[in-house]
Amino acid sequence: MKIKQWWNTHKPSKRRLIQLYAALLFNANLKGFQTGRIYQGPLKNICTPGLNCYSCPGASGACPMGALQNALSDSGKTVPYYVVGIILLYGLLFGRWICGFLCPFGLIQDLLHKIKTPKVGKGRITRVLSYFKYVILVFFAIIFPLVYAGYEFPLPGFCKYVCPAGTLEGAVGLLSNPENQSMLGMLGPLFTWKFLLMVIFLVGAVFIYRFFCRFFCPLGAIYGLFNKISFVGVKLDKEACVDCGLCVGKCKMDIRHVGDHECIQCGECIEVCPTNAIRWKGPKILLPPQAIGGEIETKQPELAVKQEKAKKRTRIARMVAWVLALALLGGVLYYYNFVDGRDAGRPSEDTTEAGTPEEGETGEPLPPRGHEVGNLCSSLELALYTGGETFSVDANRGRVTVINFWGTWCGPCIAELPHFNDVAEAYRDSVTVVAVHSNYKGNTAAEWIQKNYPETGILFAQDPDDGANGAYYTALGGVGDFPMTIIVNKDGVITCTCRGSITHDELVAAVEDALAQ
Amino acid sequence: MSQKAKERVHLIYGIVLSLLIVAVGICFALSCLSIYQSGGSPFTRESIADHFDRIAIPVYVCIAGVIGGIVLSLVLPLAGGKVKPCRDGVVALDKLSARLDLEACDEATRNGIRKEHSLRSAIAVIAAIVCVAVFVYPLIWCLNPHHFSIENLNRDIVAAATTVLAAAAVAMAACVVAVLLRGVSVARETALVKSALTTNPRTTDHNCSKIKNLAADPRFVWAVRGVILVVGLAFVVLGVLNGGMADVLGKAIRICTECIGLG
Repeated sequence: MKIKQWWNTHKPSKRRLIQLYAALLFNANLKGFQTGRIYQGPLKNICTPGLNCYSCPGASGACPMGALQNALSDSGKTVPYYVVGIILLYGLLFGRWICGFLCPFGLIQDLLHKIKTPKVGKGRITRVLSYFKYVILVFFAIIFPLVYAGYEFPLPGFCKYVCPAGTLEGAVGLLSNPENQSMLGMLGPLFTWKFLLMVIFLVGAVFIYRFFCRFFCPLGAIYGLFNKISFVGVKLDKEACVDCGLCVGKCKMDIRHVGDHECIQCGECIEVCPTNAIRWKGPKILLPPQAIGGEIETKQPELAVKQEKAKKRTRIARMVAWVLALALLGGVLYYYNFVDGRDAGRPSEDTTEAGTPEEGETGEPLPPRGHEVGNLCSSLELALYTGGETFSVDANRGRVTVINFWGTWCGPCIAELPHFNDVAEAYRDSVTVVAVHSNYKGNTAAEWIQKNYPETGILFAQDPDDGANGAYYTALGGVGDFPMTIIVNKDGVITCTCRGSITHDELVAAVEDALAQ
Repeated sequence: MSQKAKERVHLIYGIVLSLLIVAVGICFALSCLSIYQSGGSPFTRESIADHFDRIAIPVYVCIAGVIGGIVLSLVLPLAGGKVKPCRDGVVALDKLSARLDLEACDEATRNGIRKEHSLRSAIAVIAAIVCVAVFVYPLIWCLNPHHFSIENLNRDIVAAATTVLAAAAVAMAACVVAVLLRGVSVARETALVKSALTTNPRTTDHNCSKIKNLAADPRFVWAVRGVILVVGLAFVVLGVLNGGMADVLGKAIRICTECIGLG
């Protein structure tokens, strides 16, 4: 009896079920958690409505904030129509109903807040502090990417320095997989800062309702501007409202009235309104039967038959809606996990390539071809951006080769190119530095290189298109993380593989090591 | 057990669990800092496992505490609390003022109400000026290209963030002071209006401002919706045609190492 009572009080509400459904729908690539790889298929050109990092192994779509910042970073070349259009449509359709029902990070905060500790309430001061998220939006999410767009340097300011969803879903999701041990070497001060922030947001969410959403989330700041005109959400019937204040009292967000820009449209105020003045917007299908009944009873009490029919229609429509929703979820899960196998194709455990063993100049047997340290480096003929020539590692035997995989869309890649330029200049007699550009945005790379490195010792090459990260990048063990640096000695044997950024000193040390062999 | 005793038990449990959760959070943060400060390439599977092994016990105790909360709510259920009404003072005052015939009030009441109006307007203007000023300063600072470089990216962003956060702190402080002063003024005016309402209720309808009327007009709302819908759809189509959608895909299928703190 007590258990039944407890269950009745604590069973998941419809909103919680929808939140769980949305979290699963937007992270449908479940096999990514097992393989430690992100989904790379075409469906990732669709932005999910809530904050869901696209570097999460399970992410089935792109994050709108990440996409917006990258689009702004590139706004010098491409006007960001697509992302802005998507955000306008999401805002118009749903407003902050997305925060209340569809955002996975909002769900995590809701669940943390259920832990039974004393809570910090809201007040006039928290309402003032809730405007801080507009500061995050304007400066970190808009101005910083735009400023660095002038340098043609992509900088997603909010994602890089603030967003806890990226740390929790992306970093923890990827790094917790033993297959991604090599990524641990990329952790440094930035990860330490983001991890600390993430701990603060998660602990804060236990004591303060929706701590991140209320004070820091730029996506909520954008969607809040659409609350008054969105098609979905709560609305207040001002004529029925008696200004009792129970709705504002019940709400844990910093609203002044129902449906304002702080309202996450969760609908919890509906049940406390004594005059049924608060309703869901949209068709009556969303109304609970008793509300429909109440409406007809007030106006035409004798039409009980019509009331019954309306209730029956609503019940059927809801059942159909749930069946369709479950069918969609089932279809999406099946597609991502069994049909579309496009994750960042893990190189096989056996790093060696089949073939007859090769011999060196003096006849000694060379190691097998592969992409690990100690293997003979896989070779591919790469077209250079300048001069119409080609480059291959095999043709460069006798000199140390430094291969750097980079992209104009990758900020850390651009930041470290000067180190490679310095090494190319300093060791021009014995070292060849080749910067291999991933096929994505291949056309603009030539202009970028001409503008930023017109006179350089670096050979800029183009990675052949394989529909994902580039054929040579994948052949040399790349798994979607850029930049990547591989150093090959004079015999063509790999001496160093560095995932992520490399400092000037580390690069020089690795080159010296290869020269000494 | 009486309701009060149950509440006391729940309160003590809540405080203990709060301290545990904060302690575990601090442990996680210190572990991460400790790994980072150990130098070299500090983050390895072994160093992470070693550090987090040390804080395993507090984490397990915390998890047990959370589960204990579920058991506690089963064994000693609390009766649901009443919802306390929360009225916005300004909204309530507006509604009261709409019912008052100000011109029929005595001069002292009229002057008092007008004085509070003027005081609140002055507070709002001063707060707005402070907010604009502290917003403009970091904006100008950020638009100065000399403050940003690629070579010292993190240092420049930290400097920019410090400038922005300092300005935001000043603006927030100004707004908090303004809100508190406004609250005092609203309370005073509400008292005046309530006492005046007993003798001078309005007999004619009071029209809201034209802007409020327009915002409430369904035709205006639908017009705005229509414009945004058309613009949004047009932008999506333009974005597909100019390669924006392909750019989103290109970025989303690669691990954003800086977004997740790698590199």
